[in-house]
Amino acid sequence: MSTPPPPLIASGYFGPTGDPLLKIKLCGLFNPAGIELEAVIDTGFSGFLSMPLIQAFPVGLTLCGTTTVQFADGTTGNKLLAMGAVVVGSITKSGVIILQESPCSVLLGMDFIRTFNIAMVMTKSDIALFDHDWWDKAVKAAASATASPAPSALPAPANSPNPPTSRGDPPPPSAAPGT
Amino acid sequence: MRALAKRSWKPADMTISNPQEVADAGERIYQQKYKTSLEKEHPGQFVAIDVKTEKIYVAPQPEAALQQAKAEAPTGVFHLIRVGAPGAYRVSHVNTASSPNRIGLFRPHG
Repeated sequence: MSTPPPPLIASGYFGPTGDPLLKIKLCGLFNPAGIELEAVIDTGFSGFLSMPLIQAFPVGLTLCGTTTVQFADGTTGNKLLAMGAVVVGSITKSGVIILQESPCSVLLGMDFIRTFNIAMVMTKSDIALFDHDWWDKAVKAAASATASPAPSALPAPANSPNPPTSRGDPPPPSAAPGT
Repeated sequence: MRALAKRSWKPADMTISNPQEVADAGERIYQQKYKTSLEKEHPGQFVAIDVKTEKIYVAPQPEAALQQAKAEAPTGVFHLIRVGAPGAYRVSHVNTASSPNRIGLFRPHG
């Protein structure tokens, strides 16, 4: 039986320019233990990992072909593809890596979030990557615990003869006409 | 020995000689042979096109398409496409490459 992943997989941080960053290890033929990289979490990127070709040289990634990428301005360009393994916390997953000829940041995209099964929580000062299944259960448990709230302390609407006793409860029936 | 030195090596079954040509061939094969049927049957899925044999490998995820392709054609050369999309991937920045639509790994000599 496989060990379930820990609830908190990894923590990210914000860089000096405000980018959300995460330390990862990238493994390849020349560095099976992995080279540490600082990657930007970019939810506008649909792929797994994108990185400068020059940074991929010491890793020894497996080249596997080419692809077409669509840029933010709608134009497209052709890129080299490689396969590699990324380590985050204690979890290792393989994915397709886009190799960029020009200098750029290492980017983690939505395929990274899906492949690692992550629930990412980002506040103004913290970034936490949880195991998605654990997060899903925790959220559902919290939601069911608050499903039957205590009687509301909300003020009655102005001019209402029958103020509500709790949220969602119908008002008590008014006296029948003629009685 | 002189005859060997003059002969330039080229794989017998390959007329494609650089990554840009791989991408161009992949796009051409997709447009000519597979676009209509794939957009009807596998919208949004990923296709790895072997530009040597023109065979395709379709899967919901890009990793699966490429791994399937590699398993069946270990010496294949592949171009990855997402069915119905301008690119297999979307990025949130603009292209800063000197040759926007070409894989420009090296500057031309001279």
